Amino acid sequence: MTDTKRDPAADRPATNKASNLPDDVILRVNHLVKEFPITKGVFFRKQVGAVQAVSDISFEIKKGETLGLVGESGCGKSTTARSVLRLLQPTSGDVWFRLESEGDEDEIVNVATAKQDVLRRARRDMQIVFQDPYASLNPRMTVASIVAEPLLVHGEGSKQERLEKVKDLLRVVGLSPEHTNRYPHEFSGGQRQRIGVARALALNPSFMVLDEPVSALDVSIQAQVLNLMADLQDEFGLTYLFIAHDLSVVRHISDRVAVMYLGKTVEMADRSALYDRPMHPYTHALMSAVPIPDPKIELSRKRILLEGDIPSPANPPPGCRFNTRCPKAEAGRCDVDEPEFRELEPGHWVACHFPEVQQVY
Amino acid sequence: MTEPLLDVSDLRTYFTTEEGIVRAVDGISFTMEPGQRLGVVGESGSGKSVTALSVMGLIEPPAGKIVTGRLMFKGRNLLELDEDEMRAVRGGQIAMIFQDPMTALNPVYTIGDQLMETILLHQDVNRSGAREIAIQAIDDVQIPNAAQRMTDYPHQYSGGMRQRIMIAMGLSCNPDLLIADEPTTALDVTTQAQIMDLMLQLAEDRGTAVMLITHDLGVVAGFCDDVHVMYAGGIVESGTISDIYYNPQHPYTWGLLGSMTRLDDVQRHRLHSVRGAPPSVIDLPHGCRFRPRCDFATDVCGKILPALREVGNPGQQAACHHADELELHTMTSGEAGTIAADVDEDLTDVDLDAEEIATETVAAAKSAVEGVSIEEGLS
Amino acid sequence: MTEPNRPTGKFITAVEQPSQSVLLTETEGMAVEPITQWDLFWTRLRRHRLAMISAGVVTFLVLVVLAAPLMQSAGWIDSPVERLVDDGGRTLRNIAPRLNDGTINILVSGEEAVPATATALIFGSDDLGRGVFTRVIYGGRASLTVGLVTGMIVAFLGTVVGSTAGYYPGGIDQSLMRFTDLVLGLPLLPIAIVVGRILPELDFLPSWVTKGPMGIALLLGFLLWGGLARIVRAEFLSLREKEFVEAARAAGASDRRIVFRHALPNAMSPIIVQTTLIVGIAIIIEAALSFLGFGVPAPTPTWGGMAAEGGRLAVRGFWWELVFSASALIITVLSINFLGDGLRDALDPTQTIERK
Repeated sequence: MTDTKRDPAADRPATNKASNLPDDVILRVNHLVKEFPITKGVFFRKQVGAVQAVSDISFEIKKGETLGLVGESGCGKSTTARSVLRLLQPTSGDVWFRLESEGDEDEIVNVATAKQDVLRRARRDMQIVFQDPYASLNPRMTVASIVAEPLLVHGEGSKQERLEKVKDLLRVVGLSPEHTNRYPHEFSGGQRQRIGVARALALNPSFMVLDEPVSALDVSIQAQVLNLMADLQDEFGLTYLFIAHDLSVVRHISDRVAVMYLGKTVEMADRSALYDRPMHPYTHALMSAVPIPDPKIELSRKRILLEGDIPSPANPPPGCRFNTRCPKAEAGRCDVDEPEFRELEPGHWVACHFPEVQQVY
Repeated sequence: MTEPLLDVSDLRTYFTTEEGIVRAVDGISFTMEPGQRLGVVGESGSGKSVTALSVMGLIEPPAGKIVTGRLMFKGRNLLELDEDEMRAVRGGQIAMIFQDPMTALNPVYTIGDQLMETILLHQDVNRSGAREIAIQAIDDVQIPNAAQRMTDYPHQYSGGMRQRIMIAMGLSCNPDLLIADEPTTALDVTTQAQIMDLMLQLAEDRGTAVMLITHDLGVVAGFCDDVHVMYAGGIVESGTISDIYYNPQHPYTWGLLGSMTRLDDVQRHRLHSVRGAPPSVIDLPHGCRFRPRCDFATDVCGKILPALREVGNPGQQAACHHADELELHTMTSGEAGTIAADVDEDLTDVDLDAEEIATETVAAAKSAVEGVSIEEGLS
Repeated sequence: MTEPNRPTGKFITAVEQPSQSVLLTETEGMAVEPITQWDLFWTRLRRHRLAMISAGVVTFLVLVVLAAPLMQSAGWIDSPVERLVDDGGRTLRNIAPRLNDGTINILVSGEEAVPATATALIFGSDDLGRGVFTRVIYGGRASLTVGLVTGMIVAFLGTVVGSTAGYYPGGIDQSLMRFTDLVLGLPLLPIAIVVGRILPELDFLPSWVTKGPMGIALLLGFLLWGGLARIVRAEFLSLREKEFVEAARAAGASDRRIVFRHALPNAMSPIIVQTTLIVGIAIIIEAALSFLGFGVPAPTPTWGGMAAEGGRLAVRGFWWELVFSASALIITVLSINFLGDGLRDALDPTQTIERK
């Protein structure tokens, strides 16, 4: 652990340089908020409210590390991923990203507010792999044109050079370079996901968002893709933001893990700290709900069963957002005060009034 | 031994498609005892759902057809019943819960109406009697204010609540067998835990036999007594949960267990993945269907389709020519925990030489790196 | 064991295993020759038998219609009566030759009497002595022009408006769609009737608009694009949320590229199907207008106009004009719709195709 400024909610820097990104940090998300308007009316659309899918979250990712972002559906993890890449325009907040350049000093850009040309340059370095290997490949394009698209868009190489690069990329992700002329539907789910990975790798990015890259795949194929992602990270020194709902997959691949609930991060820590010493009651419940493929453990475990369902993000409860389902919630405290996201142990952040280490498996 | 509740023998369910005949279920046999909780595990296309639909008599002609087989349920062959008799069995003695509770409920009727419809169909009661049973059923699945919630429509329920209603509907007629087809796949993990807990409780209280169809070995571990592992339309291994998890005899079961990430796994290691992808069910490989993906395949595997035979623990069966010649080791109980120290620091140099796939990928990666630098030279 | 918690597996005794040293990458042996979109398109279309027959029928119709002026007795399609009126003779109107029995085979063109050829009269003639066969072919000119021109206008306007609205949600979408609703709300038949009536008198318009089928075609084109615009908009709304579009955006692709490379090709199926439906509908509407007497101005023959006349004659037992014109109409509309289905399927890359 370095002793650089480690406040993930560091104050919004006034200028580019003032972003103060430590040398080993590649991405810092500061007070990110993403709202979706709720509109009414036919002729004159009026905004009658907003769903805050992501409300004020902050984190940073170091070069070469994998941050796992985990939570249940509707918690805002995918919205966060898309906001980081500005596939969705953040409502407020900053996304500082380090554009590495050889020789010169690295350029730090704010992806959330960058102009189109800067954004375009940033996007060479930040790529995404999507969840659904069926929806993420254009069914009317050949594998060659899908994988070569980022190269083409950025004007890289001649047609022949691009084709060669595509073949290399296919080899890298474990596909035969011979089938550049095939269409996506001719491949299985796992193979398609490899094609998606090859496309993301095309521009040699330094940072990749992996948005549930294995959750649509069968178990045996999941393992192949997870192994591939690990190999690629080692080989190319990639930095990952790994979005998932599956805590066991996140444990497998991440160096640090952040847990989200209803648009907020409730706990963030190094992997071992988070899994061995989870402190937030939601993390406890989430972990205890994950089944372990081992009957002896599974039959002797005690589950923390949560009451009720996740509240609607359009109308989050006051105070701590988890208070309606929390076994530890105290009336007058948790349903009034929003708990601060605090660093309780070095590198271990928790947003809870009553944090307590609990072993859950 | 008493008569089994369900005795399936040599069930073959085929579908005719434009591309050819899909042998979705190709000759499976098994029995279920009253009160038994059986897990049917497999990946997509393994035939696990078609097995369930075949038992329910829900294979839609003309595309789908049960070609051969016998489905003895409480002494009657379900395949010989006419549609009226089958309807009485379905929902009455055998109930089914589907993966997606939203599509299984009709959006234009209230929850109460839909529950009562099932009850009126299968039980000799009047409307007020059916109403009472329905309220009781909602109460049983732990939905508060059962009487008020009867008048709600499906969209007013959350996903987890809808699945509870499906369970209430399934159990309202006290069936002998409940078939749950991926009942929690569409749900979040905390909701999944609630639903599985509820199902376990209800099944135990009432002595209902449950056939749990799932791809998730984790869910099975905490719920079932016995497991069938299916692959490409056939059962490749069956046994008790401890047989399957701690002493797998079939390389596929072993590979599947190795493929799973575990919550309690402190060490980051390469997953032992099964290479390749499941075969097309239209164009099945000759001999053993797992052969193209198997690490231990020999010549005989390419020629003869292995039958299930007893191997390993008593009662355990596997369909593998080499089952008794193999020593397959999995992460057994507690072993994960014995790696006391967290080995985070070693994570960067993952042990790559361990698997051929690894070397292959790295070699490819290196060649691509060269390609990349050429590319950079050009730009 | 170096890693105790890693699954291991081995043969207890040595077993001779076939060499597996060369691990195939997942898709080895899937190599194929480059196949262009066009090759695929043609291969798939050729397998669609009904569409191929329809394509043949449509092509044949178009060729015949184009070749119509080559036919000897071109004059027959204009009413010989009118010409004679110009020249002062009125008696021919009373001849009303019906030539199906082949007894009367003299027709008048201009001032001269021209012997009718057998071909021209295979469908018989109408009560003015005009060959039904010739008129069906010339009628095809009007009907096909109306259908195809309307189809083109609808495809263009509908796609442009729909895709713009779908790709730019918010103000642009709102105003375009309200305008579309307005157009969809216009009462088609009354407007067409009024316009059809006054069109020939609008002297300031060029004659290719006021005379013949073009005027009606333009009018229908501008009235019928709304449905397609809605369909394309809906398609674009869903496509712009598709992950492959997001992927293109993440790669830095421009809006232009996303629209033309990603969205539009995937919206082709509904565009083609809807357009072919519109072609058929336009032909039928034109026929209906002509039937009511408000269609393409006389003396240009149209299938609808002929069906109207033929209907009157059919009541008196002279069935052939009605049957032949109506058959031409139905065959054409059906063929175009089948062809549309075939085109849609052929453009769908997920339609399986045998790779050699």
